Amino acid sequence: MSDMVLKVADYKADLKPIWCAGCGDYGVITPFYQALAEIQAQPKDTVIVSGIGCSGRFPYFCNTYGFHGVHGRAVPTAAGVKIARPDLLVIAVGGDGDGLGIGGGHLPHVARKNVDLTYILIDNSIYGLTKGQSSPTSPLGMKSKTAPYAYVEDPVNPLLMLLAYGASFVARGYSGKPKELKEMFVAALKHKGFSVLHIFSPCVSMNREVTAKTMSEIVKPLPADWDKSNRLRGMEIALDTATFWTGVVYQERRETMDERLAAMEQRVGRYKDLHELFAHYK
Amino acid sequence: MATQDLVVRIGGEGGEGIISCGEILSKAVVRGGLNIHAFRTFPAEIRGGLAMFQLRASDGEARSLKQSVDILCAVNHIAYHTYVQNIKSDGVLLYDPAVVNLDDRLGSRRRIEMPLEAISTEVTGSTRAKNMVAVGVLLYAFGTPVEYGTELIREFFGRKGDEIVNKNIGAIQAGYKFAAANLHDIQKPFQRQPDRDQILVTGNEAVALGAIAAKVDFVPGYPITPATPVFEFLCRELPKFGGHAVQFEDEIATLAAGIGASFAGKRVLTATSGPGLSLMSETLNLASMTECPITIVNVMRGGPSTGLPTKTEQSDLKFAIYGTSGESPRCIMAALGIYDCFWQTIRAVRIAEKYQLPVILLTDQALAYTSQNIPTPDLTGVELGERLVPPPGTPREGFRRYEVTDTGISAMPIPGIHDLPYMSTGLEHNETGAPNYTPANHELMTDKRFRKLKTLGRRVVQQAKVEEFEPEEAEVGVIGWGSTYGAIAEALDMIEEDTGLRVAHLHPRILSPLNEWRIRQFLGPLRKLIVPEENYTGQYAHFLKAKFGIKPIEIHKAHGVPFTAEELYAAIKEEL
Repeated sequence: MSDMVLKVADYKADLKPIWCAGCGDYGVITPFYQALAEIQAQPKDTVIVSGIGCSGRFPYFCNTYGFHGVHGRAVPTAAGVKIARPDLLVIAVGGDGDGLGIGGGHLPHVARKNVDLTYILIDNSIYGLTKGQSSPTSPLGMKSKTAPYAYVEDPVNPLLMLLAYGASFVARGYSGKPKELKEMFVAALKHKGFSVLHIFSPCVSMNREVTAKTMSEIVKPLPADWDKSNRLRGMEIALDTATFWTGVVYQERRETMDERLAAMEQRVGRYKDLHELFAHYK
Repeated sequence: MATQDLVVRIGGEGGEGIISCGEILSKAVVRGGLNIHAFRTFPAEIRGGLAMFQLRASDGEARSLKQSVDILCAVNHIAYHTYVQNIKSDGVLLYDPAVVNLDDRLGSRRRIEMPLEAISTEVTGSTRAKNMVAVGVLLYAFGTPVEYGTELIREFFGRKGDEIVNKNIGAIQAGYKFAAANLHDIQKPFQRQPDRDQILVTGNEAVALGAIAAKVDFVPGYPITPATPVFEFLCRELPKFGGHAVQFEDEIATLAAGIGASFAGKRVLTATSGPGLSLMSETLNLASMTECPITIVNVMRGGPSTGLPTKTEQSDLKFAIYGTSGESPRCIMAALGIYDCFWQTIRAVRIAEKYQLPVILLTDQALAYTSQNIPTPDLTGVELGERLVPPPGTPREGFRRYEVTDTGISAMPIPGIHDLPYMSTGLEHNETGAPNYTPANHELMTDKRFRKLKTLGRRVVQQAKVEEFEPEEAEVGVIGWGSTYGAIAEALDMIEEDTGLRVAHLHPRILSPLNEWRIRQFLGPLRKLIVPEENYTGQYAHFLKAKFGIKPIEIHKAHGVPFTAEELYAAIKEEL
């Protein structure tokens, strides 16, 4: 397998995606396949972990190892895979409810651990699989089945959060810009450390307010000379809610969890056998 | 010659060195050739409140805590006030007259003034070494040569420099000298065996050592009393065996990461306590559904809710067996002593790996914080249990990760090792791992997962690994589980000594799946069954009643402290 050149089709599972016709997620998975082919990821060495929601179905459509866990826990599950097996290419994927609602508490910790995995956060500002309830990114005033008289809460700002948490690679993308997404995926997968892509992907069935049309009015790529090393500037564009800036917002090379663990283990040394440890208790 | 026992309790202010006094004393007494059973209680606060260390030494087996003590060493007044009634009628109170005010509850019991603070000040210039003076006094009481104590001071404090070492040694020697002059008639004619190959460990340490012996190589964790020492131990020692112990942000992330690592081929164990197990319950189901091996050691504490974090209770059994949504096969075990904590941890990991399911090993705060000397484990020939993986050359075409087999166990490919990528999911799935909600498939796959438990149950019967004593003439029997083993066994010995009647005793370690054949055989000749448990509702009795339609006599204790042999002796004797 390893000496063969893998093509885009080699990453597609026999099972075809079953998202609604016109779902933004098709615009996410296609460039993802392309990126896997570009970096020549070995299916045998690749694990995709997902949470619950429409985007949780992602790994079923990929010809790699896949793990579809419980709601909100894709990131810590993937962290377990990667810390245990640094030799594997590990990807986590989930939606805004999964990653920012029920599982939102895990993000700062995987970011500060800088676990070398890529997290694809696919945001549609709605709970789609359960047919239309408000999500942590639903805008104030948006109607949903759980906000029939309009939402009275403010949304979270995922980009600002991820920059503040110290993720070592933060990108923002839009499913309507697959070419740009492919480049972002390649950069994220190659990045050493925790890389996260916040991708807006409109829900055509359940979200009538944040749509491809409203998004196309505010999506704008970052300037070509954008300084990826300036986190403070990244926070400024995150706070600019009138424009949905896309591109790699921030990137730094920081020691990863597995690099630090390996160095620590080198430093503390090894026991010869269990009897050396028993001796402390004699 | 009958075996000899001496029980000493030391009580004082938390933070005054009561526990370190007990630890040094324990190690010295074991090196001096006696068997010990040492228990401690401590307040939840780091400092303040009453701390207690009880050391029982014997030249026979020291299987349980004792209720009454031969010597109470009261370092402050609260200790005297709280424990004075536990002194045997022929026992002794050692007390510091500077801080303890005696009252009439002491009765005619013997009392000896033991000026710990004055001796400490005289020898070291401060009162701080009074716990070491107490070590010296009690070394004498146990008949352990003072050199065993002073040698330990060098081992414990050697790095802190000569001044500290010499002050502590001086304090121990002064205490020993004081005791020689005042306590010479307290010593017992112990038969000592100082040259044994033994280690002195707590239940938590035995679990952690067992995990390393079981070749566990990934330990995610989150601190929770009283399980934290297991995790701390593994954080310290596992890297030196090439494994990872990693702290996560909560128990949910802990178990999720553990399942991820297990999916990636690692042998995974985590230790928690009731509230943590509650948080793990959804992810525990995921392990059952995806058939990822994982071992959870649940060190039970008093509940519900935050409950009694530093006290013991056997109250998580029902939750462990039943406490999740849906029906997810898992194995529930309980360790019955310190040595057993080591071996049952190895066995739990073996079962998890072989049967590809979660195993919950129940211990409790009493086991966790009891220390005993145990033989240094010999792992020669011990089966650690390997996961079934696909044979080399297995083709991708037609491979079924969740193949229905006779045993229920199917081969699990490991990412990066086997070129057999598959989907592992918490959704109901067919044999290949693809989601499938048809009635026939759900029935087939539920049966496949539960078949592993049936296979396990069958093999357990074959091994008959239960702790038992079953005289033919017995009409009354006791079934216990977990840490009550020692107290029950001693209570039954006391009953036999007293009445000549032998009571049968069964103490299964695998609680679920229930070893039905074995329990039926045990129940067969009995007129009466007694089930003692350290909980309010009789959780295991409930399980036995439901399975066998029997009506046992239930003895419940939900006090946060373990049964003593004396209590069980009285309660069981009443039923004869």
